[in-house]
Amino acid sequence: MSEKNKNDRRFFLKNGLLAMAGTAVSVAALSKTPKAEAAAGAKKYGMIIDLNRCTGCQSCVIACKAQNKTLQDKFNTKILTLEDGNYPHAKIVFTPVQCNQCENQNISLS
Amino acid sequence: MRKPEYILVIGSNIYEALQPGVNNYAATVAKRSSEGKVKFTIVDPRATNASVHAENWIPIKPGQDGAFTMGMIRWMIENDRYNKEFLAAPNAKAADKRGHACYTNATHLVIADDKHKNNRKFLRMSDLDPLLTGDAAKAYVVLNKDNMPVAFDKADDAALDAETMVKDSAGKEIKVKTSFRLMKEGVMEHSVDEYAELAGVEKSQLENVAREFTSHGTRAAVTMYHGAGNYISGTYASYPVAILNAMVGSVDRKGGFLKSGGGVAKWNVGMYDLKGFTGNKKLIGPMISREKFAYEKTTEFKKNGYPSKRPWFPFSKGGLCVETLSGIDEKYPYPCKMLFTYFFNPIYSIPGGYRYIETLKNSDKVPLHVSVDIAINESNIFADYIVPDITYAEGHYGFLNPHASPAKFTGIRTPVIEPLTGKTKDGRPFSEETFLIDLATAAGLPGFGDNAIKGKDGKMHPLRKAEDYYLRAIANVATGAKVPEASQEEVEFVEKNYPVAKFKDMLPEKEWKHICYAIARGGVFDKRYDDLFDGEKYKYGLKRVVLYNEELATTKNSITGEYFSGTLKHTLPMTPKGRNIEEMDKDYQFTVITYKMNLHAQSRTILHNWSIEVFPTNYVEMNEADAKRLGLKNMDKVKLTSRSNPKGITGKVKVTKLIRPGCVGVSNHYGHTQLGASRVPVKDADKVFLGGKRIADKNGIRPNPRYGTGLQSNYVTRLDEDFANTPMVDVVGGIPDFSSTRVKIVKA
Repeated sequence: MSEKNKNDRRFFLKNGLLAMAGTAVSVAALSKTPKAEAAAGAKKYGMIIDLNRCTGCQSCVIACKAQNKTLQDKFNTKILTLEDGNYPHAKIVFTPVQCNQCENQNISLS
Repeated sequence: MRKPEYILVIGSNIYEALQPGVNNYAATVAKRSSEGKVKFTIVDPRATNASVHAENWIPIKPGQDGAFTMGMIRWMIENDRYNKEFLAAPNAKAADKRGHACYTNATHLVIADDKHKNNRKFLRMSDLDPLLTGDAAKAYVVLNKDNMPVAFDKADDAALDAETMVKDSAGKEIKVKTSFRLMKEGVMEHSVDEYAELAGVEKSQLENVAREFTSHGTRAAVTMYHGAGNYISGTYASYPVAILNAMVGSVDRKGGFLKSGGGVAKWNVGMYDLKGFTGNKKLIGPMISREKFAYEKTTEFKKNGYPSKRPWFPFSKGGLCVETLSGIDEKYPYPCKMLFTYFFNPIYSIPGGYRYIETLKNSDKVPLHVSVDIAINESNIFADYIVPDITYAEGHYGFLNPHASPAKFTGIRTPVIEPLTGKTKDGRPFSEETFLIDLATAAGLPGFGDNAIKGKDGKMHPLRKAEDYYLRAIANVATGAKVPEASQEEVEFVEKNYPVAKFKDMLPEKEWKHICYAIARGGVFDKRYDDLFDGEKYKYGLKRVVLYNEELATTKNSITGEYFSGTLKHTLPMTPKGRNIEEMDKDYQFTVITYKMNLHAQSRTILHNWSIEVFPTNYVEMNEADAKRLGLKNMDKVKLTSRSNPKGITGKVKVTKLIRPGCVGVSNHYGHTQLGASRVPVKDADKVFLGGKRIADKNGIRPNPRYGTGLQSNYVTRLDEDFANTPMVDVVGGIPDFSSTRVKIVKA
C-alpha cells in the first residue's frame, strides 16, 4: 500500500471516529433496559467507541446482547469485518455498527 | 506492552488469545498504537486480527520461525546492530552498573574439547585449579582484557566473541569458546539469503524487520506464544526468537521483554500446611510421559542402548499429556493401571488425538478410566465413569498468578453461585473435590479426614470438603501477603454476596477478615506498575539469560544417542527419527495451521450459546490465489485428507487474503461430535443433566446440530509412523506438533 493511500485511510478513519463520537453518546448506543428493570432507575447505557482502537473482540456485541436480551441469532450490535489491501499487504479492518434504535427494541441488524 | 516502541509479534494471536487476554494485552497495545506510541510487526502465516493495527505482516512459512529469527540475528551481528555493552557484562553486578536488571552468559567460557571430561560444559575455576573449594570452585570463567581467564564474578568486563586455549594447573591446555562465539557459529551456518528462503520470505522483509527491531534501543521486544515453536524441532525455533530480546538488551527492562512477576504469596504454605502431611508417599521412578528423566538412567538403556522405544525428555518443562497417552498406548515404559482425567478431551484437543480412540477404547491398555468433567466429550465417552464437575461459576478454581505479564498478583476465585450439581447426603456438591476426598477417605489414604491439615500453631484441621482446603489456602495467601483486615463494610459485602461466606465459622474471626479483604478484591493486587521497576530495571525478571544452555548441551537425544546443541542451531522440522514431513508429504499441497478465536477457548466453549451465535461455524480459510487455482468459491464444501487420515474431514472454504498461499487456517473450536452434538443414550437424562428437558429426554441427550457445525483439523493431523502412529512431538521438549500436517483439498 502506498504512503498516500495509507494517509487517506487514516483521514477517513479519523473522520469516521468523529462522526461516531458525535452521535454515540446522544443516540447511537443508548440502550433502554427492559421494562421491569427500567422502573427502578430508568438507566440508559451508552457506548463510546474509538474506532481506531477496535480489536474486533466482540465485547460490545456480547454486552449489547446481554443487556437488550435479543432473540437467538439476532443482534443489535455487530462488527463488520473487511479485508483491506492485497496479499501480502493485506490486513483486517473492523467497524462496529449499532442499530441506533435503542428506544425501539424490535429493530435488529440481523 | 506499556512502554515498548516496537513489538515483534511471532506466532502469537495477540488480539484473540494470550493470558491475560484481549481486555488487557490487546487493549493496551491498541490504545498505544492509536496514540502512535507503539508499532508492531506480525510474523505469522495468517494475518491475525491484530493486523488491523500492525505496521506490517510477514506471512512466514509454518515451522520456520527459527529461520526467520536466525536470519535477523545474523544480520544484526554482521551490521554491528546488537547490544555489546549488555552482552559483555559478565555478571549481575557489572550488568547492574550498565543499567540492566539481568546479565547473560555470553562471555562465559565453554569447554570445546572432545577429550576433556567436561567437554560441552562451562569451564569452571576448578577446571583450572582443582584445589579451589565451594563457590570459588564452581565459578564460571571469562577472559579479561588481557585475555586471561578469571572468575566471572570478579570481572567488570569480559571478552564477548572469543576462543582461546587456557592452561589448567598441570599445564594442560583446554580449548574454550565464549557462549557468544558458539551461538554465532550456529547462526553463521546459513546466510541471510538462505534463512529468508527457508522462512519463505523476501530477504528485504527479514532485513527491514531486523533494522526496525534494532532501532529502538532497549524499547523493543518480542511477544511470542505457541505458534513460534509448538512443532517438531520447535525447541530450536523458539530459542532464537527468545534470544532476539537479549541481542538488543531489552530483557528485564521497562519497554523490553518482561516475564511474569509471579504471585504475591504462596497458597499452600503459611498459616496452614497444605503441602505436606503425615504418610505422604514420594513418587519414584519415571513418569509414563518420560519427562524430566534421562533414558541413560534406566535399566532398559543398560540393556538395549540407543535408540529408546519412544523418546525420553529429560530437558522438558514437563506436563506432557500427549506423551502420557502415547506411553499408555504403548505400555511404555510400563503399563497403565488407572487413568484419571480432569477437564481433558485429548481425542478432540490434541493434534492427532483421534489416534487415542483405540487407546481409550482398549480396556487392556486402560483398565480403568475415570473422567471428571462438566460434559460428555469425545474422549470421556469411552470412560468407565464420568464424575460431574462444577463450572467456573460454581467452583473454587483456586488461584491465578500472572501467566505472562509483568505484574505481581495472586488472583483468587471463589464460587459466584451455589453449585447446581446434585448433593451428597451431607450436603456437599457433586464435584471433583468431593469425589477425590471421598475416594481417598474410602481407600484409607493419609492426608484426608479429621486430622489432615496442620496449622502453624500445631493444631490439626479436617479435610472433608472442598472449603476445608480452599479457605485455608486463601488464608495463607491473605496473611502471607500481609493484607489488612477488611473494613466492616467490606466484611458485610462479602458475607452478603459470596456463597463461600457460609463457611466463615471454620476460621478464627481475624483470619476471616483478612480473607474478606482479599476476596472482595478478587485477590491480592498490591503492586502498581511503577512498583515493579527500579528505574528502568524490572525487579521480578529472569536475572540471567543463557545464550548457551549447559543442561541442554549435555542432554542426549534418546533416539540417536547424540547430544543436543546447547545453543542456536537452525533445525528443519523433523520427527524424532529424522523424517522431513514437508518433503515426504509434498503431494499434499497445503499445510494446516490452527488458531484460537476471541470468543472461544479450549474444547468446551461450543456450549456457550452467544459465542456460536456470533460465530456459528468455522471454515477452511484459503488464500484467494489457491482457491482460484483449485476452482473453489467461498462456502464451497471441501474435503481435507492427509497421509494419516485418507478418509478425511469436510468443511466449507472461506476465501481470504489474510493467509499465506499453501496454508489453510482452521480455528480450533468446532467440529464436535459430542458435547451435545450427537445423541447419547443416558437413563433419565432429562433429570440428570443440568439443561433438563431443554437438552434431553428421558432416554438421552437430544442432538443439537448447532454444536456439531464446522470442522476440527486435529482429526487429520499427521501421525508418526516410527512410533506406533501416535501424534508427532518435538524430540527435545516433547510438545505436540501444530504446524507440520499437510493435506490434500478437493471439492466435496
